[in-house]
Amino acid sequence: MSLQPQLDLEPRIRLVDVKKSFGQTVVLQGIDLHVMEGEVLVLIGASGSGKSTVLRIMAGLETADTGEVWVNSVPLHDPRRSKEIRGHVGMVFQQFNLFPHLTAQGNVTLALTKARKLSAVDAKQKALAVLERVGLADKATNYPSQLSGGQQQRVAIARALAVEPSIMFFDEVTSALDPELVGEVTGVMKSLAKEGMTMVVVTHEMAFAKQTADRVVFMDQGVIAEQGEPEQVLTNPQNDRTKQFLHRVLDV
Amino acid sequence: MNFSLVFDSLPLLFQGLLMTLLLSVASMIGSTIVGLVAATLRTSRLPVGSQIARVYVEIFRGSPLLITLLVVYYGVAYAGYAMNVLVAAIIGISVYHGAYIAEIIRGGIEAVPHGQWEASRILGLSSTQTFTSVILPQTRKLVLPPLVGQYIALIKDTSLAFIIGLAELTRQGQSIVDRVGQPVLIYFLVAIIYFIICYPLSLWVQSLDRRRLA
Amino acid sequence: MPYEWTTVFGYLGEFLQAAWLALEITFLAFVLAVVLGILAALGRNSRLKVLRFVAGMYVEAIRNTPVLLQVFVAYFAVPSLGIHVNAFTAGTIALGVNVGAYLAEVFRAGISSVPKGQLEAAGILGLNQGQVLLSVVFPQALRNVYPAVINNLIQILLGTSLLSAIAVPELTGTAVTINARTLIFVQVFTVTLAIYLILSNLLSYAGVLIGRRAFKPALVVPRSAFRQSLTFRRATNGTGEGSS
Repeated sequence: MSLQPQLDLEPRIRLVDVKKSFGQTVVLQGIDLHVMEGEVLVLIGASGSGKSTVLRIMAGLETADTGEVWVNSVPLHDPRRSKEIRGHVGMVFQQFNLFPHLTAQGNVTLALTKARKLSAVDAKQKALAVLERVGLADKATNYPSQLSGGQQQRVAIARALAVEPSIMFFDEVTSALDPELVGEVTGVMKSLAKEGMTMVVVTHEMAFAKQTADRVVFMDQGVIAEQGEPEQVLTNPQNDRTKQFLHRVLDV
Repeated sequence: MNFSLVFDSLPLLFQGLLMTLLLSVASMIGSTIVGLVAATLRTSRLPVGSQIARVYVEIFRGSPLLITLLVVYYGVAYAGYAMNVLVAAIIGISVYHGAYIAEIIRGGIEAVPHGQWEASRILGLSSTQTFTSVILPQTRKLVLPPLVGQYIALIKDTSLAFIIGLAELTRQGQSIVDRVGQPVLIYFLVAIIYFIICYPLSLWVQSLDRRRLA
Repeated sequence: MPYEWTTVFGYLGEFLQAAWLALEITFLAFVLAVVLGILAALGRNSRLKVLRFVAGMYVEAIRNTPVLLQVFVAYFAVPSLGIHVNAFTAGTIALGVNVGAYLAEVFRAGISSVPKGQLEAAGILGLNQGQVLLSVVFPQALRNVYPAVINNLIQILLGTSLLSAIAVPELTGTAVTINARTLIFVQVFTVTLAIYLILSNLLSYAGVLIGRRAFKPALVVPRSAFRQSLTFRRATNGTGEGSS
């Protein structure tokens, strides 16, 4: 959560009238969104609302059908330049997607040695540092199958952090975890936010949104239905759909 | 049981066995390389390469190995060059079984969760790096049992080189039968030798399967 | 160029006759293979140790030796025991015996793929062994093994090419003969290859069609499920496919 004035800074991420369909289904109907440096943006909404698609478009995993997508001043909508974003943003997935045939350390060093061309020694040093950052330095030589879900997800965060991204994307990273393991992951995410990392998070964890988000965006059926400060959107929503959604989610 | 005949046949059968083993090993290497290339092409995003690989697989899985061997051997002769029978057999068997191995490897590649590709991409790994360092290593466990099964089929298929004149095990057996008769005994000997090579391999495949499903 | 094609197409009659013979052999051998396969599968699952041993020996001996050798045994070794066989019969029986061993494993996998709980339920409901087999096990096992069975049928077709070694006038042998006579190598083998590809694709299409019509509910199988080589699969795996 940056305290610097943001008026003269270019947004880290800018979406201009982004539309996306999968086959016959229209998933995004014209999204305008921006994310500033150091901001923590949380996307909430029902499944099918398009929130994951927005995240994946920002991360470069999907391409928008129309509209402009600027990430770190790279035009992702330009197919010739869209590859420039790789290795400069971090993504943590719901399914972890750790490399099962490599140790935790190996998972982290792979991109460092192959994509960043670090020497094996430097890579190992960096890997241990970043694993320490997520509290798992002692599990460096363990394989993913030997770790709990929460530990695996923290390794995934470490792996993403190791390439020193300027933006971190989180796609429902706690949805696949047993409830008691959620805290260790959101704890790491909170500390990242405190250090000023620009983060875009899709989540169902409303507590996290309330505590850590700078801005909450509620998506419904492919459009942004409401956005604003977490206190406002989550406790005092203006939009009827927002009210309905929160009612369903929070009243369980 | 005519023991003297058995002893007299052994040297010739042994020669045939060596030829069979040589052809088998060379073809196993050849077909694996071919299969790997074809599977890589098939799963790549190059439309031309993918289609070529697909046509290749369709042709060789829909026709008999014998036709492939005949085409390689007599085709070369027809074009005016002399080709060593062993080389022709290695090429023919490698190209043929390569198509089956390509499908086995492709199955393994497609079984790797899609998320592995995405995670590697975001981390900045190139497609090649992703393929060799992340995807291929994970196919090993799934691919090994059917791959060894394919090798067993390959070893048995070396007997077809008989028909283009290679002096492998079955042919040596047949030439003994042509000379001295006693087909039951001689064929039994030949069969035993094939069995000794193939059966342990098939037991290994079964144990690999059991371990995989456990 | 055109001269060679017209000459070869002049032989189309011979090619088609040979192809027809190959199909005849294929279907006859298939029937034999299915019968042997069922018997061997039941034998391997039997409670009698003798039956298990005999069936096991049959399956392992056949699957670990080359089919060409088995063809020779049928044609050259059997007459030495006093039984006279012509090439057609010997070849057909050899192919049937060969694929029967592979079908035995396919059927075994199919039988074991039926959940044991259903057998128990059927037994409690009062069905005897035979009724359980016929009404509960076979219909379900058949659905599961169907792709592998069609695959083996196609393998028999491709196996008929080996019978050229014992002078059966099937497609490959005919191609070699015509080539020897005319020396128009490229065209002869192009036509031969095309016929094999057409036949094997026809068989797999037929397999898909029958799958959709004859089964209730309709059995929809992707064509890629057919045409795998006869690789070694353990009973527990399921359908005997070569890849995933």
